[in-house]
Amino acid sequence: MTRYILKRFKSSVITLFVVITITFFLIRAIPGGPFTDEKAIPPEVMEKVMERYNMNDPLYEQYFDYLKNLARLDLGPSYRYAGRTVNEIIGESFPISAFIGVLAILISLAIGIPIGIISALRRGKWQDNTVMLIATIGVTVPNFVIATFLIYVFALKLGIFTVGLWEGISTSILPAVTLAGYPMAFISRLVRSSMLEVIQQDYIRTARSKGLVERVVIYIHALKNTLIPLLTYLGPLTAGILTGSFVVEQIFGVPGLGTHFVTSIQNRDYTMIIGVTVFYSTFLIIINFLIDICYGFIDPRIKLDS
Amino acid sequence: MKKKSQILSVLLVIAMLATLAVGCNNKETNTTPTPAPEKQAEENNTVEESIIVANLAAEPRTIDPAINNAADGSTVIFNIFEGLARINLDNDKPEEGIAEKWDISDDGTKYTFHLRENLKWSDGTPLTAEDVKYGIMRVLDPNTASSYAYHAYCIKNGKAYYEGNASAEDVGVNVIDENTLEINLEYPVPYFMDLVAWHLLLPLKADVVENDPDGWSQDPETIISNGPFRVKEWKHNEYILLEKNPYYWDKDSVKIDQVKLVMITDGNTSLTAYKTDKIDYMANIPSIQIPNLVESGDAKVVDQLGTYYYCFNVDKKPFDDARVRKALSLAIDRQALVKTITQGKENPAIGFLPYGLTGVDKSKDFRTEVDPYIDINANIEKAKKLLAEAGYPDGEGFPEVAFKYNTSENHKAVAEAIQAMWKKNLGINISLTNQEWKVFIDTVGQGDYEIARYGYFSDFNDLGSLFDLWVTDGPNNYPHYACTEYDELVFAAREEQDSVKRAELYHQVEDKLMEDMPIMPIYYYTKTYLLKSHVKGMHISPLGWEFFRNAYIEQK
Repeated sequence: MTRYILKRFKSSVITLFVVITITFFLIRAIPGGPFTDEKAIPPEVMEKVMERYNMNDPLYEQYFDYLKNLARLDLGPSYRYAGRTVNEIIGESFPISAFIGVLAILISLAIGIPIGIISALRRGKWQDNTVMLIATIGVTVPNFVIATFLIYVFALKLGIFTVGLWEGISTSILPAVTLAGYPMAFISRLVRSSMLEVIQQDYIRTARSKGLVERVVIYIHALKNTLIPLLTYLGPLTAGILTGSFVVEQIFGVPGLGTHFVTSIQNRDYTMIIGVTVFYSTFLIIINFLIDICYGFIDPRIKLDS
Repeated sequence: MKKKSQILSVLLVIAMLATLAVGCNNKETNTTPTPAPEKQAEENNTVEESIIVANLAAEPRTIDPAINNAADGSTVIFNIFEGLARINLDNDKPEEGIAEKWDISDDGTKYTFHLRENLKWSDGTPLTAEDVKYGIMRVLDPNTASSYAYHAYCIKNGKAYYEGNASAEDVGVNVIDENTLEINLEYPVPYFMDLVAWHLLLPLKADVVENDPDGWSQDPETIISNGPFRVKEWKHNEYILLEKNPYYWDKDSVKIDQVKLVMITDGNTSLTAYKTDKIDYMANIPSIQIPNLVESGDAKVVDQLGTYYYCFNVDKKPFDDARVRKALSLAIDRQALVKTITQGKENPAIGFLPYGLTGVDKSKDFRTEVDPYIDINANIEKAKKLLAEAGYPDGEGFPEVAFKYNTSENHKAVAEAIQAMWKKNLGINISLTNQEWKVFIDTVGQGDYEIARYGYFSDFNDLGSLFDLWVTDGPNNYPHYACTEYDELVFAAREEQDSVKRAELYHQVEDKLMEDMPIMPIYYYTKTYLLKSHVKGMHISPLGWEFFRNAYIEQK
């Protein structure tokens, strides 16, 4: 196990290094810089502004400086928001996105798994068709449509929820439901197909022939194996949802991290772009690692060391 | 088991359909009263804390006066700081701020400001001329890296100090005594009082700033200001909460207790928040909604000191010929453009400078006191004639040129309309290309274009700033217009002390500009906004800033 963790750690560091390097040079290749503005400023003033952020140094020097700071977990100052550091910005916005994200994942699991099972067990019947129709809609309807619809009904018409102003838990429900739409539909389809496959396997037939109650067969014996493909999907899903969605955060006025993924690029806020990219990559690597460890618990046949 | 799951799935479907039904059932939901706003108002009455919630629409880059260079930051700064002069809310001209009077030397290069007695910072400590000097010097200090430092070059040795060729002592800002500050200028600056009332040269409390030069403007504890309001709370990307500053010299005219500046970026979300009475003011109305809201009278429109124009790259053929540029300008129907395309009650451009600036005659508008340079409707005959003179009769032989704009539905719509007008009226073809904003600025800045869309807001409520753009090699002179006669006129006007002569000179400047037409003015910007009727006295300046100094809530 320790050997495995070490190996994973090594490859993670290399992955991160590649991500940082590519991002660092790629964003600087885009025309326009953090201080390119509608009102152009005299060149000597621009030079002083660039100097303040060490942007007049040769690129390789900036790159090594950045790596040095990163080794101390310092993501640097934001070029856009003067006086704020990328660490601060991520520290403030990530918990908000993560809270909504956790809610969204819980919603999608709590609804997605049961309806997946139901439609698998009622395969071809009307329950199955209805659920799968809804699931197809869930997968195909983009989240800004869901968001607009929810806002129209629950904020504008019923006045139950506030939209635009962040008021904590009550304002996180609509965004969480919106975010849950796609994964919920996806999970239900995943669970359905996985369940269909599992219940045709020999060990299930054995369990049934032993005379076990159907409920036990499904929920004790079949379910565990059904969830393995779901686990694979949960890794990237968690990393993606917990770090926030630009569209959903914009529409609901959520001060989360997702917004920064897009605005930092629009602003050419170089440090912020690398910052959120590194943060996201690290997060994804960690989650995937945890998921891999979970496999071992669910299915003992999966050995991590080999 | 079978039954249970059957019931479950049925319930699920019902639940899902129910949400759908709610959405479709308009009538019923419309009649259900929304109790939220009244309740809120009641609560406000009992605690007697009046608050205005306004949408700032974006997290300001910074509210450090020396660093800020955007309108959202300026709005916050104007409401929490005050310079030697402040902006009068009736005429947008400078009036007495923390200085109660000032003397100007005859040659216009020496200003002596007399500060009010007993001025205080928002933490109750005394504010002196020394603090004003500190704020000004900080802008010029090269280590601050203020992007607006060049606006203070007019101060004696300001530029030299900024560039490291003079020491701080040489700069012409002298503290005479606690309440007297003398500023010496390099050359007379007729709009110097506008500059002093601006959001740049403001007093700063030296010890808090020096303690944390980058971070002081982030923490309400250290944002010590001297204006009508002070920062109570700042939740990034959510809101900035301002409260009345009890130490402001003119606190009696500040009637509102709190102003909450929220940051709802999305226009539609902002509109929902406005409709559900969560916010009182917003200006980021989605462009698609503007015509309807303006038509119904819900949205108000205020003219801005900014012009929307197209640049011609005069280095490139065929735009090196003024006749071609003028023909293209003549061939568009600006009236039709603003009526059918932009629909924000914009005025079609009849010259380069927008309406709203004082002319030669103090009671008249600079724009209307001379004949229009441009017809608001197309003058096709004249356009065709000029184009033929330039060697392209009926557009024959005119190369297909590319037009660039930054990606936006509005710019696209205007561009398509103009493309069609040129095609129909002159028989010339242009192709449209759009680019992401910063890529666009970069390409246009490098001169890699033939025609490009641009727009510019005046910095001050003054005739000069917009004409300064087209001085040879100016940083914003994207058309690469270079005309010695124009430059000389601008330089003469810049330093002309006599306001009548100065305005006359600027008319000559505009004559020259419109004769050469390196840029083609299209319309003047407006700002459309929604404001709840119970909020009174709020001022939206023609330069885009919101002032809450005199705002109040009318009791029902």
